[in-house]
Order: sequence, then structure tokens, then C-alpha cells
Amino acid sequence: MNSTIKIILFFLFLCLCFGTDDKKFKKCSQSSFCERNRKVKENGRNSIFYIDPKSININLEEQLFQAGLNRHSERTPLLALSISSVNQGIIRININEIDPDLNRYQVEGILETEQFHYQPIKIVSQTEEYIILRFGEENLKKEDYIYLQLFFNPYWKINIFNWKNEPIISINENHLFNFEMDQKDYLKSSKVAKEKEKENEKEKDKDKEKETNKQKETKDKDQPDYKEKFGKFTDHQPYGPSSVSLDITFLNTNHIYGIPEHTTKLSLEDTEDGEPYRLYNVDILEYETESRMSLYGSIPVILGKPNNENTMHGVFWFNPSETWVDISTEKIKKGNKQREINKITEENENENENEKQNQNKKRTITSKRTHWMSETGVIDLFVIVGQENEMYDVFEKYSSLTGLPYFPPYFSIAYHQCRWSYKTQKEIQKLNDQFDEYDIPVDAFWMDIDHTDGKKYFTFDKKTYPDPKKLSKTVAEKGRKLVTIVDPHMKKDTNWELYKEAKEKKYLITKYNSDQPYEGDCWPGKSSWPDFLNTEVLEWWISRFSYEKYQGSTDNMFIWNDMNEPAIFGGPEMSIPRDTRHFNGKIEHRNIHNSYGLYVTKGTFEGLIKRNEDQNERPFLLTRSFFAGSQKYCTIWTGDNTANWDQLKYTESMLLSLSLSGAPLCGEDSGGFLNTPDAELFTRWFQTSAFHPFFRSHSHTETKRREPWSYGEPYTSIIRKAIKDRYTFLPFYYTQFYKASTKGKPIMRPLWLVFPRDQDTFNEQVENFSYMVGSSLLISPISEKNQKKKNVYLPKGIWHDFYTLQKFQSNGQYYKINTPLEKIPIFYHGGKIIPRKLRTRRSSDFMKNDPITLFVFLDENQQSSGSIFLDDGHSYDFTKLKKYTHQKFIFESNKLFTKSYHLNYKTLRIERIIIANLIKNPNQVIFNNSQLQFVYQEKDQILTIRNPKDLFVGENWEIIFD
Amino acid sequence: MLIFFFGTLNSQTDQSFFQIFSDQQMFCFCKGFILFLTSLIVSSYCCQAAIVGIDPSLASHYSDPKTFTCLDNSKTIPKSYVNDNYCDCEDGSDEPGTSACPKGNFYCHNEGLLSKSIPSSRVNDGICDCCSGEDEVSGKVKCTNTCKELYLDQISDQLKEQEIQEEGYKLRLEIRKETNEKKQYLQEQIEITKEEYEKAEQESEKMSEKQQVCEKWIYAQKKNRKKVLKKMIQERLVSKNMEIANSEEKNDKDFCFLHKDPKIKKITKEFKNLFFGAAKKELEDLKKKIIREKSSMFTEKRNKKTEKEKFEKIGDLDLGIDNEFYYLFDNCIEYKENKYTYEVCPFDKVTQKENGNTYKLGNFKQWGELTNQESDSDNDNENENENEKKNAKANKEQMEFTGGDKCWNGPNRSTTVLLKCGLKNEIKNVQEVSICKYQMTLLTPIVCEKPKNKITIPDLTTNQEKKNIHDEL
Repeated sequence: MNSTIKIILFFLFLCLCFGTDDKKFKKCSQSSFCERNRKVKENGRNSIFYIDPKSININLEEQLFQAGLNRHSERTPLLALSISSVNQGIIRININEIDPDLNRYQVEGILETEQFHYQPIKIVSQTEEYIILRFGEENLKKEDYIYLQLFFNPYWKINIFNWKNEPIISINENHLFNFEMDQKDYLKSSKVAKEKEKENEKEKDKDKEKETNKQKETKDKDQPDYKEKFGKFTDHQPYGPSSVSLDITFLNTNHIYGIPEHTTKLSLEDTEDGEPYRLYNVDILEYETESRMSLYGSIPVILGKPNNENTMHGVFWFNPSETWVDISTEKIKKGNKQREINKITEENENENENEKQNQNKKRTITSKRTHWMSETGVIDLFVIVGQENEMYDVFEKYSSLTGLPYFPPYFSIAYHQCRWSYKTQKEIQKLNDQFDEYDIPVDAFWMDIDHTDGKKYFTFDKKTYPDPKKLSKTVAEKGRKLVTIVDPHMKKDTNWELYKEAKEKKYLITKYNSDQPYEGDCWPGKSSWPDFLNTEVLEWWISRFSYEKYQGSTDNMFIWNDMNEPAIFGGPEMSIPRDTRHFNGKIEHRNIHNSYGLYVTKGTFEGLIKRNEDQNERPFLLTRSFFAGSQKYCTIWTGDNTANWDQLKYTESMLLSLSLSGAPLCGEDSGGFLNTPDAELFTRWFQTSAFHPFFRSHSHTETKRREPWSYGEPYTSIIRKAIKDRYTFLPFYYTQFYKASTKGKPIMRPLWLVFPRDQDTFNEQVENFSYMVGSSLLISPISEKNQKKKNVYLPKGIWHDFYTLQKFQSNGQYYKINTPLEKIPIFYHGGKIIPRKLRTRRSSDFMKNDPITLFVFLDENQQSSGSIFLDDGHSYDFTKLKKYTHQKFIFESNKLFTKSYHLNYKTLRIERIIIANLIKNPNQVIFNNSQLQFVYQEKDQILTIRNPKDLFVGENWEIIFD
Repeated sequence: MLIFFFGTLNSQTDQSFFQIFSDQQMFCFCKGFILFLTSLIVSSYCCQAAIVGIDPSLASHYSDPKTFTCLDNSKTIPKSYVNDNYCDCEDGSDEPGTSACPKGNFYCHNEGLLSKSIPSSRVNDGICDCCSGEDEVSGKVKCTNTCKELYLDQISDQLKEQEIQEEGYKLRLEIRKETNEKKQYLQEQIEITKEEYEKAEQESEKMSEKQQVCEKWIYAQKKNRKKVLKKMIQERLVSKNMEIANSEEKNDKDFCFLHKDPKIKKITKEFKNLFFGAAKKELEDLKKKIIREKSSMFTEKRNKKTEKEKFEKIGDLDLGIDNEFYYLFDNCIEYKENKYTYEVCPFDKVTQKENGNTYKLGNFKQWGELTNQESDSDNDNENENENEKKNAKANKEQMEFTGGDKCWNGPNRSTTVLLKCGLKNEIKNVQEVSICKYQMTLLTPIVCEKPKNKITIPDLTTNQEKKNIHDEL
């Protein structure tokens, strides 16, 4: 064992010692602001804010509604409430101090503000109690307007209405709104202060002592010295408490989703009896399932699926400081609320009658209340109102706020081979040969921390990786790529030019009480962290990726940002102290913590673009830490999971949660990072992982080496099949990725997203442990040892078994499916057309010119459709030069034909068309006035068109089944 | 080759004679015949020239001019479907020459030199998988024919290998002679050392007896002297007492000054001398001498025992034909890599030194591979008998060393030593295959084998050249 491993092991040991230990990470009770905000109601009437109608102001030019928020104890408003609609269907609610002692941090560089189209505001009505606003252009359809009702007193409250004038989201309904503004607040709310007050009361008579107490208070005020202790760590809070909190209720909603990253089940659970969901990016080793503890990344987004609508509404709490979210369920009899609705619009008589009828039924309505608590910053809330019967509308709208997912290069959606670490260049060269030897396709080999010279990123170890360019060339000959790791920690090594420069130019995050860089331990030992928030630093980081500066890198290498929470060994909660400073001491880290990882990836992403002169190559980047907006720059993986069945089981809900929260490009370490899986677990893991958006095998340095062939037969063959299956689906996946990058649509979907009317799809087992890819494939992973059969729920419709094409005509029922080791249940969805490439080669690049096989699955009405997107797979030519093909295949009225959105890329031959559930055996199949060869199997009602001549993707055509 | 050629003909006898001579086949036959005369290598695949990529041993399946039945017998298709770049057979057998079938294979003839099968997916993928370049005809890439070089390389590697094997085998035979000579010696040594050990044991027993006697004697001596002294003192006291008692001037004081009595003084002095002085030293020395003798006797006994055990161990070891592996006994081999120095002492232990720290990487456990159970638990006495049995058959190209120093937060270190033929004992490489699990390759003549088929440099004149020669003839 060499000494570097020993060091790693040492740190690892540290991690191991504490990773599983809850005590290493805060509970709500250990986080003073969480505790305070959970009990905010105890502060009484004086802490409640109301609106003085006189303060209302509508800025028509900026399309901004403004009002002042007053405390009952004070006459002048302290806070400004601004409401606007930044895009059609999106309301922004912003609350900030009017005259702050210290300007509160407002996030920069994340919102897609240039995409905002502010909607006109119209006052519908105003009374002494409330005001009703309408958002939207004058000529909109009735259902496209959004109505908002703002109540003034005794506390401010907002109701937002859908197209039917039903309230869908209510804000501050439970008046949990809190906005801590100065130390005085802190004293008042803290127990210490209460005790002090009690003492004061007791000692009313003793004037002298009272005076001294007063003096003490003023002294405190002059020299504030707030500290919060956690374990051996002290967090200095020179600006005092400044937390914000608000409750948001999803009305008439049973299921809400989002706020990744957690290991809980998909549907968010009530937290009243325990810990709130926590969002604070930390490096947890050996995380556990079913936990609301925070993990590596956070997306403060919650989506609600209203009970009586086929749509989704969402809220985006735009605050990157530590955030806790309490969830509770509220059941109320239909009543009061409904009356409020009826007042709302001008023309709603019909609805009135409907409502009255409904009211007669007197049912109970379930609502989900979310209580958001953030350590600092402002309240900047976006409420997204989904369109009727548009389940995916919410994703598109959310993307208009934080950006659409990036469109990764083709290779990156294929299989990746990783390990901590392939220690030498030779090892990777050997892998490059072995994958051919075992006839398993692979697209990228990954180089973990040990490839660097002493964990100084942007370098290669001269001994173990003497010629990275040659290595890159060797793998490129087989169409494969390399991915190197670049972590944000910088080794404190004054002989290293990069560190020297960063220190001299003051690019590093500084200590709370001096302008010296903060230092902590990470892989290289003592390290510092660049201040990625500073645009100058970001530019500097971007420049480091040039081929000239990143010596040894090539255009065939891509990047992996790890440890960007940032992770710090022995730091508070394994991360950086909150009191460290950005922007040369101006901004406390606590303000930005959850977004640090995002800025790292933002710099890296742009570095990858700018390293090429034409800036025309699409980057591939993987990250562990993330925030809302990360989807613009990178693919996310779920960090250091463990090789056990439980973790395999919960992988799906973790990935689905990310997919629903605007981060559809995600995956996990196939096989589990920590510990060594047994052959069965390893095999089962690959079978489901092969259908996840991002597919990479990774393992810890202490585990047994595991490549797809490590377990011998029969496992190697089964794993080979799983990987090859993925390769056959690449044209379909690539199209899904394209859709994600244009509409924000998730690639991996819970069944209910595709079948929202089917209540069974919300069933815990169905929702958490099976998923759809696009709306075409249903995957039901096997995540239990020795499971020979699985009950699989198939929503109503036609389904075809992936392995045999056997037809299942489901009424929305469970099927007992045999699951020998070679199989996990996979079904094609009737009504969908899927383009595949059945010839699998060494790498996806080697398959780019291979012909397509179209799989056409007809629904009950003998109809089907599906699409394909084709381009060069690596450049921005598809947007810059519009060099792409996007085509729809449609089967209806016994015809299969194309509908082309855009045809400007080379054509691909179609070698085979398989049509399943074709009830009538046609006499002839005609294309271009000539008959095509075909075979029809009566038994399975499957027609196969054999080797049609001159049939191409990228051309318009029609095939008639006569 | 001849047999094969006629074999091909025979396989077609069930069909019409004319069919054989129809068109292509006729041409083929003729061409094949000519080539057969000119080059034996080429004739082996000539007749299937029309069907690209088939393995000659399967050629007969493709001989029907009208239909083809998939090799898995799943269906029969028109002959025109063979190699039409569309996969009809599940097993891929209809597309031996294209990439259409996911499960297909393409046969590289490689001019009969290094023929092999490759997956169909490698056909026209831009990489020259066959040294002949047969797999790349689409023009995506221009392959240079490297078969000859490759073959020569391989041959020269094999020749080198062969040379080493031959040379090494000679050495091995010599070593065998020596070890065989030592066989007798070793056998004898087992006896001799056993005898010597027994002798030593007997002598040490005798010595023990002697010591006991001696000690008894010394004890007796001491005891005796004490007795004598006591008696003398008593006598003197009695007489003095009497003297005092008899004296008229009875003075109690006198009793108190007995010790001043010159006679008693003398006795005391004698006593002191006996127990603390020269006389005592004499006895002590005697005792020490005995102990010394005894301990050297014990050391000898121990040495004899080690010796005996060593030879017994050698006796128990599977040392192969003529005890040849005795050659590796007591023969430690060192290897330096970066800052580490490794040392392998076959049949004993493996160590690693780094900056003055020495770690044991394992004690010799057995020949051949460990089963999983064994690698987990090092002290499995129950299986010992089984192990012995296994050892008898175990392959002698691998030694397992287990139960080394425990890794910090990891398993006990262990090492696998692979023995490969070489002209002298040396370690070729060391790898840490997984955490704290090492693998070393040890080159030694003792595993060199007599080359079975002697490779000779073949005649690699190309077919064309041969033809030219033929024409000239």
C-alpha cells in the first residue's frame, strides 16, 4: 500500500467514523433559526404582519404590484411586498426590507431574467379586506389568466387561482411568515431574552437593577457578538439572525413532490412528528435510506398534483441558504374557502352553480401545507400555475425561470466505466482492450483523483499518467472518451502556480475575521476554495480549461466536478464554515451555501465551451452538488451510495425526485459505490441502471475491482445484454434528452405523470419502485434478493413485453411477471413508436451510421406515434446552423407516415419496421408504389417489414398497409 | 489440407454432380485446384470466396445454392438472404460477412496464419480487426495487411519464449540432478537430525539429572555445613554455659557477651566464610557452570529441533519431481520498485520494506489457488487434511502467502506468487491487485517446460510470389 492510499484511507476513516453518525449533521433543534421558525407563532400578535391598503402601489411600467408590510406593533412598514408575473402562468412574490441596516444578499446569475416576459396586471376588485389582481395580456384565453387575491388584515395572505377560479395555492394562510431583521428580534424570540424579561418583571421595583439591565442590552446592541455552537464548531454571526420563513399550502392536493436530494419516498411525507426536510448541501458518506437529512444538493422546488385536475402546480423558493421544509396535511370540510372564490371573477356564474352542487356533497378536502424556513436572504418565491390537462406544463414554466437542461453530447448518454481509481494509464489502456475482449460497448473511461499530481487538479501524475494525450488518442480510436475529475479544493502548495495565483489575486474564500484564505482539509491535505461567486474568479477558472493551461487535456476529455458542496474533512457538517466570506469579505458564505456547487459547474461548463476556438462543442459535465439551475450545466449523480439492496431500491425515487424538480439528467453509481455487491445485486443494479438517464458504474478504492465481467458467467452475459440493450435504445434516449433540453420534460417519469387519471399509479409501490422512460417504456426494477416474480402494475392500455413482444391488454391491473436473473420487467407502451439501433458496436460513436429499426406499438385504436431527433451528436450546429432532423412517425388509418418538423441532417436507413398489435394481416404493404417484404405472425399480431429499400429517417414517406 | 479439400467434395456428393461444376463452384473448384497445387494455405478457404466471413469448418452449411437454414435450425431462408445486410437468423448465421446480426461472427482468414472469429459488430467499423483487413471493405479505413509482421512477431516472441524455455529446461534438469542428489541427503538429514535431536534430548535429560544430583549435593553440602556449624556453636555454647554456670563469679552479663567468646567468634567467621566468602563462591560457580552447561545443552537441543523440523517440513512439502523445488528453498529473492523493496522467500514468507518499516505480506500457505473460504480464515485446522490432498495435485505455478500483517482498517496482507519460466530467479513485477492483496511474478528455471511442438520459422513467401516461382518452374 502506498502512502497516498494511506492518506486517503485516513480521511476515509474520518468519514467512516462520522458519516453514519447523525450527530455530525444538524437536526432542526440544533439549528437555532429552524427551531425559532417552527415556533414562530409563539411570538404572538406583534410578530404578525398586515398590509395597510394605503401603501399599495401598482407600477404599470414595470408591471409590478407593491405593498408595505407592517407589524401590528409598528406604524411604518418595514417590509416591501412585490408581486409580478414574470412569465405567463408564473407569479413572483418578493419580500425584502425597505430600509435595511445591511443589504440582504440577492442571488445573481441563476435566473433566466432575459427570458422573462412580464405580464400586465389588472385590478379586478378591491375592498377593505382584499384586492384581486389579474395577470396576463388582454387578448388571452379566459383560462390562461391567473388571479391572485391578497388579504390585508389581520395578517397578509395570498390565494392563487386556477382557470376554474378555484384556489390552488395559498400563501401565509397559516401566518407562519417571519422575517428576522435585527438582533433585537433575536433577543425577543430567544429563550434567553424571555428569561431576561421575566427577571425584569420580577425585579420591577428595583429600579437600579433594571437600569443596569437596560445598559447591558444597549451594550449588546452596540457590540453584537452572536455565535451559534454546534459540536466543537462556533459559527460567528456578526449580523445577527436574519432568517425568513413562510407557509405555502397546496389546496385540494394529496401528493406533493420535490425538494431533492433526499432518500425518502417520492411523495413528500408529513414532518410534524420529526425532522423537517433539510436542504443544506453536505458530503455524507454512507447515507441511509428513508431519511430527511440533507445530501449533496438541493432544489427548493415543490410540485403539487391537485386532486381534481390533470396538471401540476409548483413553487420555487429561490433561496440558496440553509433551508428546512416542514410538511403537514390539512383536512377541511368544503366551505368557507369556496365562498371566497366565488367573489373573485367577473364572469363565473356557471361555476357558481357547479360549486353549489359540489358543496352539497360536503366532502373533505385534503391540502398539503409546506413551511419553508431559510437561514438568511430574502423571500423570493415563484408560484407556477400549470395549465389544464397539461401535466408537463409546469416543467416548461419552471425551465423558463432557471433554464432548460443542457443537451449533452451523444456519447454521454451511453455507458461509462469509472472507479476510484484506475491508477495508471496502462490500466485504462487495458480496459480499452478488455471491453472489446468481452464484447461490451463502452463510451467513456473515468479518471478519479489519483490521476493528478498530488491531488492538484488540472495536472496529471507524471509517473502513472505519463502521456494523457496518447491515452486520449488510443481510446478515441475506438470512439471512446475520457473524463477527468476536477474538484474545487485547491491544495495549499505555494510551489503550485495555480494556488499561488489564486492566493495573490485574492480569489479564495476568506476567513470570517481576516482577509486570509480559509483553509481546511481535503484530499490533498490543507486546501483553500476559490470564490466562484466572484465573476473575476469564475473567468479565471474558465480560462484554466484551455488546452494550453490544462496541460495534457484534449478535446476528447470531459469533466467531473466532485466535492463541490464544498466537502471539507473535519469542517462543520463536513463542509465550509458558514461565517467564511465571499467577494473579498463582503458576503457571508451562509448566504450562498447551497448554490456553491452550481457556480463551480457553471465555470467548468463555460470552460469546456471556451476551450475550443469555435466554441461549438457541447460539454459533458457531471456534478455531485447542485442547486436549482444546475440542469443548465451538468448531469447529476446521487453521490456515494452503498452496494446493498435497500439503496438499489431507493435509487428510483431519488432519481424520480430529481427528474420532477427540473433536473432530468441524473443517475447513480451502478453497483453501489461503497462495499462490494454480490453478483446478483451487481447484475440487478445494471439491469435497471441501463435505463436511467445517466449510466455509470463506479466503485470505492477499497472494494474489489468490478468491471462488467468481474463476476464471471452467467453474470457477465446478463450485464453485457443490459448494456447492449441501452445502446440499442440510444436513438430513443437521445430524442428524450433533446425533448428535455427544449421543453424541460423529465426523461424518467413516475407512472402517474404519464397516466394522471389512474389513481393506482399513486400507489406507493407503483410510484416509488417503477418508472417510465419518456412515455414509451415502463421499467419495474428488481431490488430484492432472489426475487423470482414481481407484481407489476400496468395502467389501462396495451403493453408489450420487452423480451418477447407478448401483448398485455391491461384494464389497469397487476400482473405477476417472472423475473429470473436474466430479466427485469420492461414493457413497451402501446401507442408509441420507438426508434432503435439493433446493431451494437464498441461505442455509440461507431454506431452513428448504422440503420434504424422502428418499433411501432399500436394502441386500442390501431394508432401510434413517436419521434426521433438526429444531429452530429457533439456540436452546437443543431442550434447555430439548424443542422438537425426532428421527425415524427405516425401510424393511423392503416398508414405509417412521417411528419417532419425539421429535416437538415443526413439520412439514416431504416432496416426494419416491427409493428406490434396490428390486428389485421394486410394483403400488401406498399411504399413508393412498390410492395415491401413483410412477415406477419398471427399469434402475436406482429408484422415485420424486412429490409425495405430506400426508406430513410430524414426523408418524408408513407407506408400503406392494405 | 488435402483431406479437407476432398472433404468438401465429399460433403457435396449427395447433390447432383453437375451442380458441383456449375458456375461459381466450377470456377472455384478450378481456382481451388490450381491454388491447391501452388499454395496449401489458400486452398483451405477458396471455395467459399463468394460468402464473406464464414468459418471454413462451417462451410458445408452454406453450400446449398437455393436456401440456407440458420445454424440454430430456427428457419430456412432463400440463399439470397445470406449476407444481404439484414439479419434473419436469431443466431446471426445468415450474415457472416456483414454487421447486421447482433449475435453474428465474422471469420478472419488472415491468410491462414492467425485466423480467428470476431463479433460481427466489428465489420466495417473503421478498425482493422483482422490483420489482413478483411473486416474493413467499406473504405472507411484503409487497412494494411499486417498478418506477416504479426505472425513473425508472434513467432519471434514464441521463438524467444521457446529459447528461454529450452535453456531454462536445461537448467531445470541440472537443478533436478542436484536436488535429486540432495534427495538422499535430505532423507538422511531427516533421519540424522532426528537422531541428533533425540541424542541431544537424551543428553539434555542426562544433564538435567546431573544438575539435579549436583544441586542436591550442593544443597546437602550447605545443609551439612549448617548442621556442623550449628552443632559446633551449640557445643561451644553448652561448654561455655557450663563454664559460666560453673564459675563462681556468676555474672548474667557474661551470657550477653557470648559472641565475644573467641571460640564462637571463630565459628562465626568460619560461618561467614562458608556462606559469603570463597567457599560459597566455589559452590555458586559450580552451580552456574551446571546451569550454563544445561542451557547450552538446551540451545543445542532447540537447534537440533529446528533443524529436524526444517527437514521434516521439507519432507512434507510437495517439491515436485526429484525434489526440484528444493532449489527455491532458503533462496530469498529481492525486488525494488520506487521506494519499496520486496522480498520473496519461497515456502516461507513475503515482505515489503519501506523507509525502514518492514511489513509481512504473508506466510507461505500452499501451492495453487485458495478457495474463498481459505482466504477468509487463515487458521482452518479442520481442512488441513483436505488441503494436503489438494497440495498433492495443486498446480506448481502459483504459491499463496496469507496471514501477513494486518492492513490499517483493512484485511491481513496476502500475496500470490506466480511462477513463470526464466533463466534465473528474479521477480518480474509486483501488483497490488486490490487493497493489501499483492500479486508477484517470479521468474525461475524451475518451472520451465520442455517445448512440446518445436516452432520453426515458416516460409512466408506470399501466394503471388509462390505462384511466380511455380510459373518459373
